[in-house]
Amino acid sequence: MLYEKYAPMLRGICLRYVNNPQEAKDIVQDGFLKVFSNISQFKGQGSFEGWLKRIFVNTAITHFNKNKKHYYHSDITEIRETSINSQAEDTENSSEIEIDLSDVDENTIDYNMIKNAEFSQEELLEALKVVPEMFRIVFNLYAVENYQHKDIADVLKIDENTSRTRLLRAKKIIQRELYKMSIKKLAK
Amino acid sequence: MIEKDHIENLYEKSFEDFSDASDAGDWAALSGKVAKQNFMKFGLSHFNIYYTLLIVSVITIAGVFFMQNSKNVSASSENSVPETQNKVVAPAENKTNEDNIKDAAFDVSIKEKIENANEESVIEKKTNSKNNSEIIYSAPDKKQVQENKNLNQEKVKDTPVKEEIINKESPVQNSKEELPVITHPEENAKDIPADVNQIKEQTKPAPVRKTISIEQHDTIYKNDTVMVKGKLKFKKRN
Repeated sequence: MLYEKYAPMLRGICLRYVNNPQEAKDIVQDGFLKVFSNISQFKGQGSFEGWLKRIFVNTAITHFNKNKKHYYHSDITEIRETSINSQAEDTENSSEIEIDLSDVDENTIDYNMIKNAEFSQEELLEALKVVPEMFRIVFNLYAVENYQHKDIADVLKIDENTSRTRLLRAKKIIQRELYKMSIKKLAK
Repeated sequence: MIEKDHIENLYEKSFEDFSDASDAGDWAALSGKVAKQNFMKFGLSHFNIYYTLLIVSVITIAGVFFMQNSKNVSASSENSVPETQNKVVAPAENKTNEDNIKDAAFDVSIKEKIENANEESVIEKKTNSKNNSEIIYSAPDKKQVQENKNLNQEKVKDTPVKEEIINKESPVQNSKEELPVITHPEENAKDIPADVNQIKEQTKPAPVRKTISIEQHDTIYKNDTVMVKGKLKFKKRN
């Protein structure tokens, strides 16, 4: 059955775009409705899996565009909360790790540590969840779905430079999070 | 093409085959949505909202049509009551004993007339009444007459009697119409003695004529009631 075969993979895609699992479920349902109603349009040119992925990515983008205002407000609060929480956590764990992670300088990040940390998919996803939606969606489209900045700009109705900026900001946040996680991993 | 840095490559490789276990309840929710979507989508093979709307609209139109019809029927029945009241139709139920006696006598005379009509081949009768009305009686063939007679005998009793006042004009108006125009009474004074009786007859108030007509098949039976000087005189004819 189509749903049973492809649903786990497609839910994985949706989880990269949204934080909330319930939202991911909604996107999966909407995506499958699109698939069932437009399955006659698939003419066998290219892989069926790739066609499904495109539909689900577009559904996730549509979902993002629908809730853009909500995401914008939540992103601001998320940024504040994460910064506050990270500061609090850092002060709590500072005695254990004895490393101050409150302000990690980009220049001090050791990329070899991140490479050697061997993060699992769940850990990488956790690091991605810290990134605000508007940056994360650009990162996902560029890094994972292999979209160009021009395509991202068209899809999200933003400027190409905005897309580039958002990608850079998303990467910085992820790097910092992964660096923190790698230090914690090594410390354990 | 810009080369991706190690973070981008890390995520690309890691999430190539990323999947999340699905719940059984997800498919139940999805199947409900699919059924709803199919219902909203037009298709000849399955029942959908378009068929539902069609059925509802047909029922609505039929309902409105029947409602209007019922209203028209009720309105026509309400209007028909005063019309019958206005007519000078004496229903059998409201008749007095005198009327019943008259009707019975009239029926007997009609029967007699029918019998006489069978024997006569063609009767043409010109009446010299004041209205100068001309009535021509023509008797049909014997077979046809026999058939009509049988039918009439069967239906005479059931037929309602209609009374219509044909000539209900005032006596004064009739007298005016029938009076000759006299411009100079003094010049015509010599003629007065000769025409006195005629003028007097002409100046008499015209009688009120009341006709009772009975329609049976192709034959119309009429009974004239003429009121002269306040007295009823019956002239029955058919």
